[in-house]
Amino acid sequence: MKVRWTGGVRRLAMAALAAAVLVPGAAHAQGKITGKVSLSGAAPTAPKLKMDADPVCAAAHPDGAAAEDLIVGSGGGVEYVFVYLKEGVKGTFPAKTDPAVIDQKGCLYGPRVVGLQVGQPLKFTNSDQTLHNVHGMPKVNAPWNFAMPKFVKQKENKDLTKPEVMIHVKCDVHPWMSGYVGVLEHPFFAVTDKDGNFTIEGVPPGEYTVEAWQEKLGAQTAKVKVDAGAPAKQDFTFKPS
Amino acid sequence: MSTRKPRNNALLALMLAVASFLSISAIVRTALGAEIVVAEEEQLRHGKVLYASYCSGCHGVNGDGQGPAAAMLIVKPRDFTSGLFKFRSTPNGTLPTDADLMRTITRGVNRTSMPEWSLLPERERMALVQYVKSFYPGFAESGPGRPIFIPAPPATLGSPESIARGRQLYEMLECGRCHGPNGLGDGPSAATLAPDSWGNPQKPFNFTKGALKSGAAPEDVYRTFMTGLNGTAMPSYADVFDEPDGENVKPGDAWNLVSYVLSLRTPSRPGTQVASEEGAAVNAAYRGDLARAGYTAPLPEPAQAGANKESKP
Repeated sequence: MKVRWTGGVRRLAMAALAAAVLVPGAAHAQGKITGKVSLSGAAPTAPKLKMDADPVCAAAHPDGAAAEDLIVGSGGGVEYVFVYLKEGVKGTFPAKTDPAVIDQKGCLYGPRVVGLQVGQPLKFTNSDQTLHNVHGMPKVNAPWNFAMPKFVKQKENKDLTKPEVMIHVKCDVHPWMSGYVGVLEHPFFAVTDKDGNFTIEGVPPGEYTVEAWQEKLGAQTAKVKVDAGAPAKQDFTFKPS
Repeated sequence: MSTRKPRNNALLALMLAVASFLSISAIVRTALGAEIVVAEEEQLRHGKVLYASYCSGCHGVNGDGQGPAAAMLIVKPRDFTSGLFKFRSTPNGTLPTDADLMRTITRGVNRTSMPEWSLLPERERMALVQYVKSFYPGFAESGPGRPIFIPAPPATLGSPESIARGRQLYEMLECGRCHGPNGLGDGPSAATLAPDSWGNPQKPFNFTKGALKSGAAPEDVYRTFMTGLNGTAMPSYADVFDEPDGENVKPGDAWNLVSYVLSLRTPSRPGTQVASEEGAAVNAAYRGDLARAGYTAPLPEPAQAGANKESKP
């Protein structure tokens, strides 16, 4: 029988090919890395932000909003730490096509820290009825600064084409708004939750250098060995600066 | 399947034609290329000599903005090694074109220590453009951004209706957050602006003071809010105007914002001059439109009549 190279067949073949290429490790059992990032000693109290300059921002936080540059939860866990595989990753990992999203809400970035892959779009949404400008200040990638008036609800940056840890993003209108974006060639990163916990999923077995990065505390690295099917554990403890 | 064969033949013929064209043009290019390379090197050498005598006093021999005079200047000289250039016709975050750098050198920068260099012969200014670009590898690696399209200003530019609509836009887009409710540069965020990317204090522009740093023509205002000023708080509003939602922003609204911003100029204030033939030519072109529209706000007198020779990158 002669197979006609129709659109349907072609799409099917492309899909099969894509699946074979995109999921190289699908046949193997993957590992993962879990852990907790903590700050030793007593948890510092986050100062209150002064948002009076923009009544829209102030109204979003009737009880006031706390600074987010160092959030330490009960048990010493640190939120918004970027944890990623710094060295040891082999192979190529096509970027996700769905964007990493940062929402501007109550004149704060939600979340304050995100990771994404080279080539993956970075989307900013504006949930606020006020003007924000999204000012990215990379050192490796191309800088950007676009205005998001209150009626502009979303905007994507598709030009993050090189790995860079981390890119500082800020709003000049609201000087307390500050965020960080980590761009990697692979998908093995996580941002700690409010208790300081993280999980990096789908890590191929191997030996890696893992880095935990926090804007005020700095960075720590650790050597981690990941076995197939078994979660590796790696905690990080920072000392108050 | 019988229809496929002739098409394939046609395709083959086309490919052969393209291939032979490419190989011929490659030979031509190689011969021409050697000459171009020599000319470029000569231009750079020329630029280096000119830079040493005219520019290095402020911008520094290494192009880092740390020349011996820099410490005495209130508005600091540009650091060419940062790859951040404020005055561009190219999208935010990209590098300027040769024409952009040529315009800045030719016109100078209003309200700063950067004088106009229009008295230098054009070829010397062009050599300086190439030499300035050599301080930042990105010019050779990725090149400039693609310049934005600036349409001809409408006959309504500067009309009372256009100014009124521009005022609405100014409020809706919240330009006043930094530039102040009346354009005096005293908005609520003005005092809290962090230093710019070079670590220098930044102030939102007071529109009543006259010309923008990069020029006085309506086109200069248009270009500035569409591309933003790299390295500073001033963002790009290109998306807002290029893809108008029809509800808040309508097609053609960008020129209404220009009308409003220009209407804020105080006539008696100095600093509105554009001292270059290019700026003069641009302004002369607008002058006719503005006069027809009954626009009476002062525009700079042409310093020197002349065609715009700098538009070719």
